[in-house]
Amino acid sequence: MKMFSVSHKTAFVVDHCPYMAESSRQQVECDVLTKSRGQGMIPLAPVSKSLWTCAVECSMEYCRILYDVYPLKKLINYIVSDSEFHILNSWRQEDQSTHELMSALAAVGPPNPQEDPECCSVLHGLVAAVESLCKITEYQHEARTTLMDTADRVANRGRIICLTNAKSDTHVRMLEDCVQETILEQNKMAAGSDRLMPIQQCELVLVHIFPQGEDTLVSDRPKKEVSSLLTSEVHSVRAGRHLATKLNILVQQHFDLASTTITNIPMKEEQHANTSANYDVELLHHRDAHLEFFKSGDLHMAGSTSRDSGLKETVTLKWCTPRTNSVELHYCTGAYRISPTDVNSRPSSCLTNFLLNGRSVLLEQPRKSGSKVISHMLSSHGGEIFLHVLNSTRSTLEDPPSISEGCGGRVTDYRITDFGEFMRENRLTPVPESPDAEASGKPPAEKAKAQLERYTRYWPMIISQTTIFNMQAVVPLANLIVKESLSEEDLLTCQKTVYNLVDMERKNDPLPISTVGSRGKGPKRDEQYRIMWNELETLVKTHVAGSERHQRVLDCIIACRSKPPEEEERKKRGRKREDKEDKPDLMLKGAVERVKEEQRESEVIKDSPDSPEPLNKKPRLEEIQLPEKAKGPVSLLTMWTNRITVANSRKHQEFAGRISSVNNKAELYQHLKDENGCVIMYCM
Amino acid sequence: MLFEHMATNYRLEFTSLVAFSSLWELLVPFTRDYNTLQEALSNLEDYDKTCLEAALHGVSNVVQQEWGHACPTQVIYQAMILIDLDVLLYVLYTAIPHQAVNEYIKLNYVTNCVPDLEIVGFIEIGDISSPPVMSRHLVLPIAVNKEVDDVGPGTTEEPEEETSANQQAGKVPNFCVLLHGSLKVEGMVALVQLGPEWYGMLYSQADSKKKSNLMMSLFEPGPEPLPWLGKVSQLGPISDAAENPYGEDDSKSPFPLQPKIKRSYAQNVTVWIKASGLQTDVQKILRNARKLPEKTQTFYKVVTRESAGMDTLLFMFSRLKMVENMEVESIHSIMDVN
Repeated sequence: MKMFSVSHKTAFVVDHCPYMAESSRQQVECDVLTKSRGQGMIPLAPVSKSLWTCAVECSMEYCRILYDVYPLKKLINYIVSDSEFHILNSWRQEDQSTHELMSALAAVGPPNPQEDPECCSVLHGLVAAVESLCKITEYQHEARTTLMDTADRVANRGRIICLTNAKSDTHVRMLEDCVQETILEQNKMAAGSDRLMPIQQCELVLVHIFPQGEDTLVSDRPKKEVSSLLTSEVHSVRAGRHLATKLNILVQQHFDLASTTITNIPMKEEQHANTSANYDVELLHHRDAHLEFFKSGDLHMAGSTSRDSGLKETVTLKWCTPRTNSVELHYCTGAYRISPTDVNSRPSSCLTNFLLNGRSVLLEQPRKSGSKVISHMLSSHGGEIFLHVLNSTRSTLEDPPSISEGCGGRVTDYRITDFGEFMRENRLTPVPESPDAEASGKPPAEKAKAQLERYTRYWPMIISQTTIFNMQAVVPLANLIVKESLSEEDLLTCQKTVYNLVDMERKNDPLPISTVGSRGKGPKRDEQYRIMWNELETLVKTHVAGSERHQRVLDCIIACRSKPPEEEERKKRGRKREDKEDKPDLMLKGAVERVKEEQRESEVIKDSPDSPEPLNKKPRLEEIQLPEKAKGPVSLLTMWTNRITVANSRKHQEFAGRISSVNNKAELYQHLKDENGCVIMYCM
Repeated sequence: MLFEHMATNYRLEFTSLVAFSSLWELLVPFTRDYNTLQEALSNLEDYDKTCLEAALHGVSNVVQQEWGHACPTQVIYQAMILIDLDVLLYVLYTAIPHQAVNEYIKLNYVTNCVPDLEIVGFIEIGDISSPPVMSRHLVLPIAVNKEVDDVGPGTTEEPEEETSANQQAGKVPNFCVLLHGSLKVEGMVALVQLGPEWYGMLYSQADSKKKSNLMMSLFEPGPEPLPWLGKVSQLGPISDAAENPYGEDDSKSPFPLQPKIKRSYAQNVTVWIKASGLQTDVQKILRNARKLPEKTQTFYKVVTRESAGMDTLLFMFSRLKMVENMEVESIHSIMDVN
């Protein structure tokens, strides 16, 4: 269907004149359960609907089906006509709802028999309908705005469905002429207005409703051209059941719908809870759901059964009892919204509730011979039921080559689990549109793509190609470094990760590097750590352009990591030369070297320009109490003890007892001695 | 020569040979066996004048019978690789139904015009929910490393060398294999973008219980191909959301999106076109009315639910002469108050 076809706008004009209050003479029994009536109760008389009620009900059904299948862009404008016209809603999408229309109709109420029949006519409504068709809808407006210079390519077409009780064929011709004249008048006005568009094509569908048991005064007439702008058709229909069928056929014709009957649906009976019987439910949907049937000529095979008036065609599909609840991805070539023909019936609501609760149902194309063909599936998505068309023809993609035979198929250690985790972290979620969002930059999907790009800048595909991604210790840094921007806390966490790795190296912790080398045990521990640091640098380098803090993470790594062998040697040689000058006592050289080396290392960490003091282990420089310098040459033991004392004092306050100990004994809990006379001694 | 070229580069394509003049004849039905095709071609005789239209009709029938109406096909003419697209389009428009032409155009667009495929993000299979697709494609990994393919100038391709080149290629890690493995294990699909407002998905498709492959399906072009996903441009990373919409234990999902107004079958609607509808509702009200004044609340609930319909009922009742009935009168009085 073209975008602004005749079906874009439909104006219903329903006759509300006094003669519409006449009974349709189709009786409805209200009093069904006579046995439950008590004594002295007068039974309810049968009810019969007026022409007005029939018109309202059937037009509401037309709207209900339309809105189910086309929730957007197919618009209805409902007009009621008696001594004047009453427009019950607008073309706005928000006004398109059967609920709104029913409320508005209830406010209008039934036709007033007291009204002067001379003033009443459906003409008022028809004129109002033409005026209404000239009004621009929000969709037409949007299209015109987008097209700008070629805005005149946007068409303005519409349909008028008039439900009335006409007097004669002459009367009908008079109504047609009136509509034609009004179109010409309105088009002249619209030509000079920004808010109106002239009508280029109008379809008038006149439905003459008359009571049962009477002869019609108006004849049926197929669609004919009244002018280049207007076509007209006339349907003469008995009120009641026939009118309902007629409007059901019209909605299918107007909106390219088709009917499918689901058969063999097992349902439990209310009265007999243990048995179940098979029911049929008829659904309407866009006719493209039957395309494959048309092409293959199977439409008749699938079953064209005729209903009440013998004019309806439907395709029958068999319900297949769902076997498992497993979620499968079906190859589906179309999905179409449905509307049940008989929405209130028990079988129908059973089926729709079953689907709305999340179960899907496969439908089988009945065949006289041959294997079973599953051609369709019914499934609900977010409260909307769709008829999915499943592809049942042979595929050109059958028997594809095995993955293990193709490129990359012989590799056995892909990081499948890690990639799975990566995918879960990069799942998508809908972001509600907001007017501010447009100003704030990228649409959500662009952000998603940008995130994927950042996360995968450095992403080794196989386990043996990486060290850092096989280490728990690297996880905090690896998770943070891919962010667009880092907070101070993030930066600290990254640095702590680096310090932790330095610690691991110092303790000579093993690394998960595959020791499968060309010969022997593979790389030595030093070399392993070098490989690890190199990879960590590589990872962080791909993100340094991100922000200044990213750069600082890189700086931290470069500063802390173990240097290449030549550099280490140079440092040692440098220190050795210094030692020769300061300390003539050669025996102590080793110990001094070790001390100085460690001091230097801790200085390196402290003096590094950007790294802050580690939070928990802040050296309490101001509280260090170096032991008194002994006089004369210092023994190795003394030196060692001093070093430990200095290191310990940086970490904690010394135990008070130890400080005040005399001959390795200290008195504790002095106050107890004072109070109770007991003494607790601590021996060290 | 054409068949040799196709056998090397398109060995997975199905090809059929049709000879035409004033009539058409199916010489070789659809097959992947290029030897059979070559043989039939060499045995071809000359016929009388050329009638392209009939031939194309015939081709259209053969394709539909074998593959259904939705299968894209390329029509290749003898002595030409492909007629200039405009000429071919003209001919096709006059001979083959528009459906087939559209499929042809789509196939060409995908193979010739799409330079880049971008992954937007990932979605669970349960959420994407068997979406309608325009076409399906096998995604096969190709060797990126040129050294692997290069057998050296001047050397003939011996079967053993070819095997070792293949074996080499097999050992080079390939992203398709990684992606396929993870999609299969996690039960997810990757949402991809082919062009502005044109999307598709990558997923693992099992041919049989043992074998599966990476496949790509394309959605109809447009900003919102699936109503239950919403506009694709509005899908963002979960890391940007305040709370993980999938829940800590993956028990929830932000999909499917719900429409603003419910469908008729998802709400209580009053439809009295069929007598049974009216009868059921009247009985419901009377049943509850009989329990008045005890079950007043239930009665109000039932009546309120049917309120729009009740007004219809009212103007029906008001037009008729109803037999005096205590219950009906009490209904009337309550309705009037409301």
